[in-house]
Amino acid sequence: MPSDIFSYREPSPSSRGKDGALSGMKMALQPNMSVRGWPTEAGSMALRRFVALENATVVERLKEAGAILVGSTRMSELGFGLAGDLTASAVSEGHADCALITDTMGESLVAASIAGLWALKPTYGIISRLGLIGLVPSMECYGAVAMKPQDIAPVMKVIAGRDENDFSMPDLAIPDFRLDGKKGNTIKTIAVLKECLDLLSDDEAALFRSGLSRLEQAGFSLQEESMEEFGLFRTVHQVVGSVEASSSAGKYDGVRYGHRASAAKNWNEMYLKSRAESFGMPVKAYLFQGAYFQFENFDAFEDACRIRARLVKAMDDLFTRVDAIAIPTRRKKHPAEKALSVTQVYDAFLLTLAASVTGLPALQVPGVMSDGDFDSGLQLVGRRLSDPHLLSAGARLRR
Amino acid sequence: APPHGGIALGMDRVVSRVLGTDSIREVIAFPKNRSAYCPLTDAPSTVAREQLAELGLLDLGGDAPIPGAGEKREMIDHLSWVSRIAFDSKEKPLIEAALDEAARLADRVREKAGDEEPLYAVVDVVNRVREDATPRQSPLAEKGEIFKNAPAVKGNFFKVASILE
Repeated sequence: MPSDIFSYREPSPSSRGKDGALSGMKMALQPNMSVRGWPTEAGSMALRRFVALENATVVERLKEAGAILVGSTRMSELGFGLAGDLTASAVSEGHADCALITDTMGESLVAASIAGLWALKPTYGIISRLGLIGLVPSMECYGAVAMKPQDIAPVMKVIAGRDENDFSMPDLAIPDFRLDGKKGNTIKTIAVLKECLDLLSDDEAALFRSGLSRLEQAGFSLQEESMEEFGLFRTVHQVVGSVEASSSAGKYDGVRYGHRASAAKNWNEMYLKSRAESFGMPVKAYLFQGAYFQFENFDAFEDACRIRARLVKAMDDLFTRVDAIAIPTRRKKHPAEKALSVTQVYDAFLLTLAASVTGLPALQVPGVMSDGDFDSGLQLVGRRLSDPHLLSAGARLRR
Repeated sequence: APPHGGIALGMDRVVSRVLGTDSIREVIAFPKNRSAYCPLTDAPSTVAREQLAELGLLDLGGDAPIPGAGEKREMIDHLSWVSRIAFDSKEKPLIEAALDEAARLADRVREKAGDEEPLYAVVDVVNRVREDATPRQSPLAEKGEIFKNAPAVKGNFFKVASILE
């Protein structure tokens, strides 16, 4: 049952029980999160007519906790960028209390910012990715979007945690998502990065500075910090991301599932044609970039990973001096919903890439960086596993 | 050679005796014909540029083309082939622009990279070992559910275009 926002709506949404932690909570998903029996095309021809055979671990946990899965929303091709993605609208228009958005470069944060909502991109590795169809395994995770942070915390509490069937999960102590006022006070000092401000246009910077005063009024102390290589997050994300995407997309061969081109003379032509028709722009261009690094210039991929090591360390160093970093979530002149080329996508997500490359948690807070006309969103990036602290710091900010 | 002794029975001859063939030729694994051509491996033949590159032999001829090496292919066509993604004339300029951008990114990371160890994952990778259990087919395969999503099926197999021409 398709609609404008949903690509599939559950005909009879129901809750498994009344006693679960999420009983009665309406959740919207993207069609790249496997729900048994639901069409799961991930916005791509590559998965045309694909119906999930099993539940993703996250889906299983949501159902177990009594959440009502209302349907899956329209999304960009394989979750790359936000062009055509209407997931956040499911929440802002009241169809769902919370929506999950695949976050590879800040999609959940930016989508929430556009819709004036809250979003948490959690620490990388605390949520099972089994059943999530993605492109960039070393960065992607489930981001949660909701009207208020109090709706995000319980969802995270339910979906986070070790999954014996996801062999890529690290052994991390899962943070405690039970919010209470005292916890938020662990975030006191918030950094403002000089190099980040340098990336902004004059009016973007002015809007950001005016919003910062709200942080001070709420009792946070601001600290000017410098991170010389902030501009490299974009470069590293694009090199590593495209390589992983090219590798991940290798499975779409039109043999076991997905789209098969008609009238191929032989095996190789079947692959070439099927995959030609399976991917659209900008995903196809991104896959070619990845193929370039994989097959023509592998040294560049390794170099990008070297820089990634340095960037992760620089962030860790920064977090010995401050508790969080404040960055605008999105840019006025680079709308993510209209980004149709790889370059435009990276322009639009420039400010959210740091959290993706380093796997750190990031919270999007609406209504702080706003001039009444445009809300860039405030992004708070925190220490690894500080997710609940970010949520309650955000709540404190808006109190 | 120093004085030595021993016996070496050729493997081919042993196999020939075991199978009771009339001629040892019947059991040669890599036979060559009268013109020293190998019907199995097609040798001697020209090598691909990629094979020379792999062995570091590409620059031996200087600017002159190396005899036997295939013509240098356009990079975009090569990438299209190795990643098995074709493109049409409308997409070509966009992909070319993307490849130019990739080359610029490569220059930038080369310039900025230090001597750190490359980091491929931001979390520690843990070696997981599955609990010992009797191996069994996936229930989805048992019930044939995995064929539901397949574009073409024949019996209990995924059907593909012909592999041998």
